[in-house]
Order: sequence, then C-alpha cells, then structure tokens
Amino acid sequence: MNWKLKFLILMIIGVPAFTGYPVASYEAEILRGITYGWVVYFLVVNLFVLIITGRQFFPNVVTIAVLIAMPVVFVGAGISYLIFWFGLGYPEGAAQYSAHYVSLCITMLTVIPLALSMVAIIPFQDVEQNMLNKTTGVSKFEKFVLMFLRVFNHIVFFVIPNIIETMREESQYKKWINSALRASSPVPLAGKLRLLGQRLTGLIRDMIQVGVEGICASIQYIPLWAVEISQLPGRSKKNLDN
Amino acid sequence: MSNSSEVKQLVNVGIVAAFATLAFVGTTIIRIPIPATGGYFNLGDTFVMIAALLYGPMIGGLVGLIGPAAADAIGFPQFILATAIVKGLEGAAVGAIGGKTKGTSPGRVIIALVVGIFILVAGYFVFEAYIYPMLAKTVRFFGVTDAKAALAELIPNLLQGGISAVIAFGIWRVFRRKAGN
Repeated sequence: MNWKLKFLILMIIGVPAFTGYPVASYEAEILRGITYGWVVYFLVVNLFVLIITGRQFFPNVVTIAVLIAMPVVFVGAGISYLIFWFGLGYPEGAAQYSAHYVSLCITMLTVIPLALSMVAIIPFQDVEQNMLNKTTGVSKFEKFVLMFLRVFNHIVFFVIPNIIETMREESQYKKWINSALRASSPVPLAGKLRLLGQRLTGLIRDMIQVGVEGICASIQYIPLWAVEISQLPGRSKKNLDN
Repeated sequence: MSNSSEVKQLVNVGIVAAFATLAFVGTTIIRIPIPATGGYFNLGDTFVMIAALLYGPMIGGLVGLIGPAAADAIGFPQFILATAIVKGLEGAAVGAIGGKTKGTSPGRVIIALVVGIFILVAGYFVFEAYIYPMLAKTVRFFGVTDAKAALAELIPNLLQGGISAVIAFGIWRVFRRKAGN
C-alpha cells in the first residue's frame, strides 16, 4: 500500500473526530459522560493506526500520545481539585469533572495517534526528491509546498531536538527548581515568596532565550533555500512539451 | 515574474512555515486544561505575536491562522474554527500596529500586544458565548460551551495572552538590539 492511500484512509477515519458524526449519535453511556460511540471510535482508530503503521511504529505513537495526554489530564484534574479546594466552584465536588477528564483522555488517545501517523507516513524526503527530479518543471505552488516541507522538516527533526538536548545538557530543568522552596526548607515564608518571584522571572528569561534560539535556528537557512528552490525550472509550456 | 520577486515570495512562505510550526509546537507542548470549557491554556500565542511584530500583518495573520489551529486538531478539534479566526485576527492586528523590527517604538509594540490580548480574550468570549451555542443548534459537535463557560475562560485567556505578550516583547527586544535600533 503506498503512502497516499494510507494517508487517505487515515483522513477518512479522522472525519468523525472533527465533525462528531456519526460517533456523537451513539449516546448510550458506559459511565456517566462516557459514551459507547467515542470508546468504540477510539478502539477503531487505534486498530487502523496499528494496521497501517505496523507493529514496530505503533508503540512509539502510543507512547508519544500518552506522554502528551497524561500531563494535560492529570494537571487539569489537579487544577479542578484546587478550584474545588479553595471553594471557587464545583458545588457537587471535584468528582463532578471526573467524566470530563476520562473523555478528554479518550479523545486525546484517539486524535494524537491519528495525527502523528498521518505526519509520519508522509515520506518528506521522497516527496521533495520527486519534485526535484521532475522533467516537466516545477509549478509555483509546488515550489511553495517544497519550501514549506523543508522548513517543517528542519524544525521538527533538527531545531527542536537540538534545543531540548541543549536544555538537558545545561540542566535548565533543574535550574527552575530550588530546594529552598520546599515545605521542609528552613527559609522563612517571605524568603520563599521572594525566591519564587526570582524563579518565575528567571523562567520567563529562559523562555525568551529558548524562543530566540528557536527562531534563529528555524529561519537561518530560509533565504538560501528560497534561492535554491527559485532556480528550479518553472513549469512552462516548453518544459511540458519535453 | 522576476526571479527576485519569486525568491521574496518563497522567503515569505518559509517564514510562515517556520513560525506556524513553532506556534504549533508551543501550543502542543505546554497545555494546561481549563475545566469549565474543556479548552486549554498554552503559549503558542508568543510565536503568533512575534511573527506579526517582526514581519507584519500578513505573515502574523497567516501564522495565527495555521499554527495554533493545527495544534487544536490534536485533542481539541471543536476549537479549530474559533482558534483559526481569533488568532488569525490577533496576528494581523498586532502586525498592523507594531509590525517590522526597524522604526517601531517599544510603546507602539506594547499597544500592539495589548490589542492582541484584547482580540484573544474578546474573540474567544464571543465564539464561546454566542457563536458556538448558535452553531450547536444545527451541528451538535460545537455544543461544548455556553455563556457561563465563556465567562470562566476570561481570566485564563487573559493570563495566556499576558504571559505570551511578555515573552514576545522580550524576544522582540533581542531582535531589535540585533537589528541595531
């Protein structure tokens, strides 16, 4: 099966996720707020992703989906609990939102593997090579697509991994946590609040630095690529006749 | 078409692709859910705002239209429509008021960012309180919010816009220094 057919199948399977049809029509609930429709859809999508991407790739997709979904679901549940704890909402208790987080988890574990598979099955290098090898010339639209693909590829497979690796090497994650902020630390509350303020300022400063590095690394080759791509032969009538 | 104008167009496409991808990543990596609406807090706006400030309204608008909406496709598809329109407008407005690195004063940039935050907060409020409930009458998929939920999202959206604007302003200052202003 070629990648275009795989992509088409995944696109068709993805339609209910974006329109709700016909999944939302099955309203019978397994638990309060969790319908059979969405649970069955979640199973069907993951089955198709497994069949289309293969047994070797599927665990990676699920791992990434879980890594993205879990913080969202658990941090969200934590925030809900804090809102309840401070008496700012949920008169029926924090459990009122349990179903929301379970369904959010199901949605994310459905849509993330689908979206990641759709990106992963596109052989960007081959698409680019095919365009470059065309004897009939390259249309203006194809040149734009080529540029978009190159930049997307460069950022996803080069810029972001490099930034994460640099942050890991420089122990930036550890820098944001200070042992003096712990509840057991002997530092007085005023001191802890001052430290927290300094940490937040430092965090913003680090985010600005990461943002600048990310932007510079992302756009540095664009002028060069633009010149390179513009020199490809255009799709003129003469080229088409050849 | 002359080669130089084609190069310029290709550079613009590359810039839109770069910032849209960065906005997509920024929106996807930091996601804090807002329980009342099922939406989430994120920092993707930073890249929409900075693209608008550095390259003007057209590129800012396109980045806002593509990047964050693509991120919504992962897990929050109901919000794609609202995000594409609100963030597209946000990028276009920020770029129209404070666009381009050279010759723009910090005061003007701050005004542009404040307008951007206002569009973000007001735009989502209008969509969640009025447009989505209206659409939900014919397409149930949009039945995720109401006026009460939209009110609950005002402060998280304000915080999201504010923090993103602070970071975008910091990045703009670095580029402005590099540009020699």
